[in-house]
Amino acid sequence: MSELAATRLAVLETLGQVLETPVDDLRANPVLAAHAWDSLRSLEVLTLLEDRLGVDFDLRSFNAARTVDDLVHLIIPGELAAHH
Amino acid sequence: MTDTIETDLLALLREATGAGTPPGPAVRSELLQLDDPKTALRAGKILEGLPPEGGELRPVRVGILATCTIGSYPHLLRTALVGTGALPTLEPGTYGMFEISLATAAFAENGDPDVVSCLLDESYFLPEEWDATDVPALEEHLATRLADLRQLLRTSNELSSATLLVHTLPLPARVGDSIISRRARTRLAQAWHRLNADILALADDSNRIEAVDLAGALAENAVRARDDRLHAFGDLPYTDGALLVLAHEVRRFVQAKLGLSRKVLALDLDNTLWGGVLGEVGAEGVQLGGLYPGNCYQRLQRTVARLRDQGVVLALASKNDAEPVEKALTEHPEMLLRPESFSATAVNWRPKAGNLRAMADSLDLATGSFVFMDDSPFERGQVAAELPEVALVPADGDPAHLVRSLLRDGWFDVIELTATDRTRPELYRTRARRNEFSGGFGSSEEYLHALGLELTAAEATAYSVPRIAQLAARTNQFNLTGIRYDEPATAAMSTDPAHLVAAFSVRDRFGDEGITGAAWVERGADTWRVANMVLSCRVLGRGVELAIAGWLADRARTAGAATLQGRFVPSGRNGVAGEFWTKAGFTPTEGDGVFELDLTTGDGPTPAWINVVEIEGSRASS
Repeated sequence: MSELAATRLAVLETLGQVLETPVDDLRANPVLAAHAWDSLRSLEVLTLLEDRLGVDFDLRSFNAARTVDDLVHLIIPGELAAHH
Repeated sequence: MTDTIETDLLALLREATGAGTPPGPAVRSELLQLDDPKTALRAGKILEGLPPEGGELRPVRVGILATCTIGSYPHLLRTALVGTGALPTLEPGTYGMFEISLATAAFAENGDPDVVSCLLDESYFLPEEWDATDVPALEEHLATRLADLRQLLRTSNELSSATLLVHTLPLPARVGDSIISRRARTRLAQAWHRLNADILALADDSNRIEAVDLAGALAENAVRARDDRLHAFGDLPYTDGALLVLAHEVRRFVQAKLGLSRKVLALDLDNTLWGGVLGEVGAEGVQLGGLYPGNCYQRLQRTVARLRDQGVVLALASKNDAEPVEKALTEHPEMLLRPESFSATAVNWRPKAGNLRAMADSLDLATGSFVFMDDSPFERGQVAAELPEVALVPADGDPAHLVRSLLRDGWFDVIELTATDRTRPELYRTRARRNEFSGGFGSSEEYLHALGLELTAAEATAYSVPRIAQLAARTNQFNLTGIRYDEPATAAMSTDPAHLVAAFSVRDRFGDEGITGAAWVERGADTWRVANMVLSCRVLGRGVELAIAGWLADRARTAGAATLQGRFVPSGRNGVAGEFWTKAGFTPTEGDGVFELDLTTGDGPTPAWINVVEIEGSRASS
């Protein structure tokens, strides 16, 4: 699995766990606001992803994320851009 | 803990919650050991689905008020409380309503919770603006805010029966480090320590205010306590790691309040109380005292001795030949625990679970009151499989961790130590001798006469109320109605003319058992009703309960009542007391579980072998 795919899976799994939503639903509709995305849950996702992936988010950028890919993009900006 | 084990644990929790059953002792033990806040949070969310009836779990209602966002705290607290054997109903308050909720005691919609945990942060105590060149003014502000908090807690105490739980706070670096004068910064640190000391002292104001030392616990537990982003964005001053530390401090209080703490510490010897295997290296060869690692084992022995001094009953569970163990315990110059330190001993080659069960029988205690410490995963596994209710403490790995491993879960915490607690180990040793004595009699009645039993009945006093409340919390078997009057309720009833609270002490030729029974009675003009009566299982089987009924009948009759009424409410664990009222001569009435004794006819049920003594101004009868 590529680093990009692994990261996307980690983001999807973490979102699925916190938002209590199946990963397939998140794939089908990757807009975070379409799910139970609120400020408290977003912070839980932030701490879980930081812990799991060893990254450190700037909260301003994190709060600006609207989709699953936006979050992936925060973690590996270069690679994701190359796939777009 | 690895991800796999965590996933297994969460899967087990989902399974149990889905089936509507609370998790069993083995799973609960894993919950207690969770030090990863992420898993503890997920576990707490799953456990939210538990049904309100907890089977063997002890229900408790906990309100939560906060000076900040409550965040993950309820879930983390739920995980810790279920881990200790409680079934919590958590009732978080509304954001921004901390002071008004305390001032009006508006904690929950349906009556007072048992406990209200207050989550405090520095915003409550610090002003928005302050002058770094005028630390004394800041000190004054801290004192004023502490006085405000004290007043709120007092008001709340007056309006509600809930016990309020507060905690100390770490001084934020952004506050301390913004002062550049070292002198002034040190003074602020002093003021902050004083604030924390004053928060702890709030517990001295009332027996319904308790304080835990979060600042101290955070210093001991290497967790990152703050995340500035979460604080700034979500008013979350603490990380989940810090909240889990607080949850466990609160859990230890609730555990003690509910009587879920343990009484017995069963210990292995080889590589637990000393280093090395006695059978291989001999008493002279074991590591004990001196330099590392012998000092670690001696430190553990010193800690165990300190627990014993506070009433923890010690039991020895070792696979060894008995004679060399006796010799090592008696003669080794560095040994701090001697043979007489142990109330029960099982040094043999039989499986340890069976040995623990036999020792529990000889002490007349349930195996659920045991903690077992052993270095061998095999032995712990065998005990876990056969006696899952026994709490396990691993003693393998570096012996430097032994003391921390033993103490980290606070298994033996009590709210307050009573005189009976302190003498408990000796009482249990006496019991073992009494059991030997009983072998020489033809009938049990002959034996009971020879014991010279004396029951002392006394109305509750300020000195006996803590012990009476402790009996109510801890007694499961001979507990007639299951109503657990806590210390404040017992104290209130003891001074109310419409009630009688009595404490009963038992002694015999082998020693004094101390206060082992209690009764809470409503004194009506015509009828006295026993709201509850409890008796420690230590003194069952001697007719003591009948003598208590006899004394109560006597008191009611003297006061002019015609009827003494008692109730029995089955709890699933008090079957031993099911026949009590009828054995005491009471007649079942049409009411469910209600029994009555006609005081106008006949004698009381006091057995001939018990001498009843009454203190505090009433007559003694025999």
